[in-house]
Amino acid sequence: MADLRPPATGPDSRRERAQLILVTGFVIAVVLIALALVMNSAIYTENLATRSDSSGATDAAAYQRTIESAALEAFEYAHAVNDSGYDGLNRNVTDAVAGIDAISTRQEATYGHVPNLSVAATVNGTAITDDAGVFDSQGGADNWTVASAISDVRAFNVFVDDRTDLNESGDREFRVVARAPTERWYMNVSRDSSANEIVVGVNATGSYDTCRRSAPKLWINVTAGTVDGEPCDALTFAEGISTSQYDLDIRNGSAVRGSYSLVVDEDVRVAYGAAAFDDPTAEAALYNMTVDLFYRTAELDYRSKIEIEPGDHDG
Amino acid sequence: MVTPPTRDRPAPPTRDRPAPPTRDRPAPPPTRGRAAKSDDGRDQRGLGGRENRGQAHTLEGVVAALIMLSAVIFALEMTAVTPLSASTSSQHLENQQEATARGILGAAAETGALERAVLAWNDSAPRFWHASSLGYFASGSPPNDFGAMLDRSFDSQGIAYNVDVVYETAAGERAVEQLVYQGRPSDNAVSAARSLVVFDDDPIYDRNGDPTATAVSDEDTYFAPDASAGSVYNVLRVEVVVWRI
Repeated sequence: MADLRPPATGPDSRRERAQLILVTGFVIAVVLIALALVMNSAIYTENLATRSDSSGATDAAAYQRTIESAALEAFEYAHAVNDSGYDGLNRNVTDAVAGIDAISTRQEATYGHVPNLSVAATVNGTAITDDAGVFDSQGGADNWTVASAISDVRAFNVFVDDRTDLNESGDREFRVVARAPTERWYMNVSRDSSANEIVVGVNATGSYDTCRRSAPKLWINVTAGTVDGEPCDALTFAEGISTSQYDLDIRNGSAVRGSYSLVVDEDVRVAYGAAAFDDPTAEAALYNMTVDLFYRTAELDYRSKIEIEPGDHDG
Repeated sequence: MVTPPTRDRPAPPTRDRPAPPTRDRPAPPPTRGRAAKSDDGRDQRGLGGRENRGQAHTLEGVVAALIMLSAVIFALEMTAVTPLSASTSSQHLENQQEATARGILGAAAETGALERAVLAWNDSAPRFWHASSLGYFASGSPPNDFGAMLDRSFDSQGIAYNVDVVYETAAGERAVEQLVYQGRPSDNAVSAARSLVVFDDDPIYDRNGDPTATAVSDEDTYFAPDASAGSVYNVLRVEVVVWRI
């Protein structure tokens, strides 16, 4: 090591700066290293923050979406092939979900994910349909009860085949009524001859509102709240009915021609007999199905309930 | 570092200056330490004396330069791997590619394009419709909606991808059918996957992408077998592997 303090005077006195330069050099080096460390920490933090999701949360969401659509398809498949009542329907959906669970569990396990699926519950219901003609009962009654003591309806669609078959507004118009002991909701379908329109009027908790369409024939999706494919703000099925159970009636069923279908959440088949042509029919159907979904990864434990209820008016 | 001034510092040079008369003033006592003096007071170290410091200073300078250079290089090395760097190893790019692949799979699954793509089966070949004789699409994407989505997102951007369909064999083992194979993925490849449940009554699609009257469970040449006893035919896991080239 060279002397850091040469003489104060004489020719060597200039070397006193060497110490200063040396120390400055060290200080700069230390500052640079410190800067590099700070920068390194910032970059490392940024790197960590921008890492893709490693917990499997995205995979869980994608898996859930896959199962939602698959369970819906299994649900519809079971109804399409069913010919043995509630037992057959339940067995079919349970087997389908178990099959999906078995295969997908083996597949997902390869990637360190463990899913588990099972049918938690199903609710027996009745599918009521009338494919053609007027909307009267099997006995030919104009005013009749479609289903009694029900608490929910899904996939309620009405097809109005011809505007000219409808009665004028206010004149014994066709009406769908949800009737509770003290509350009443109804939807009537009539025509306005002067404007050449079909008028769908809805009375909910005392307020009356209408939707008008100029189409000669149209679909009314009662539970989805659409008329001719367009949203109808007034149409919210059974709005204002607060009791847990109500009856569903049809009034003036001969004042319309077309078809309708709905699924109610009770077994009401006893009210229906053997259907003749042009009569409404009632078949066993599942009102809804609940699937329990578990999805586990090393860092994630995800649970969800998937409710399959096609055409549910609650969304 | 700092040495006591009186111990190590040699006597003032006597070379350039005549020595003071010894008569008037006694010679200073010999410095304790390294050098001895001759009778005339001359520093016996000669060239090995004060000139040695030049060498030491040079060495110090070199060492200081090395330290500073190392610090600069160290700092520069750090900046080469920022997440925003435009290199093939950029985490941001990988994230974006993965998100794009996920988005394509999600959109294709929701619209049914994914199912149409994997069920477009040519039973006479047997392979996917329009695929090369190797059984997969080696360049470009399948001519259907799913292929168009891949094309818009990756092919036009100079990004390579493979699409594998993982399924379960009748024996319960995992097997892979390649739908698109553009080569071996690089180290910076990312992947995204989406499962697709195929039911017994799902139709096979023809060369134009229209459903045929043949259900997948009736198509003996289809690559995936019926792996479930119920209404489920098989669960296909479609994996997209993406990398920059």
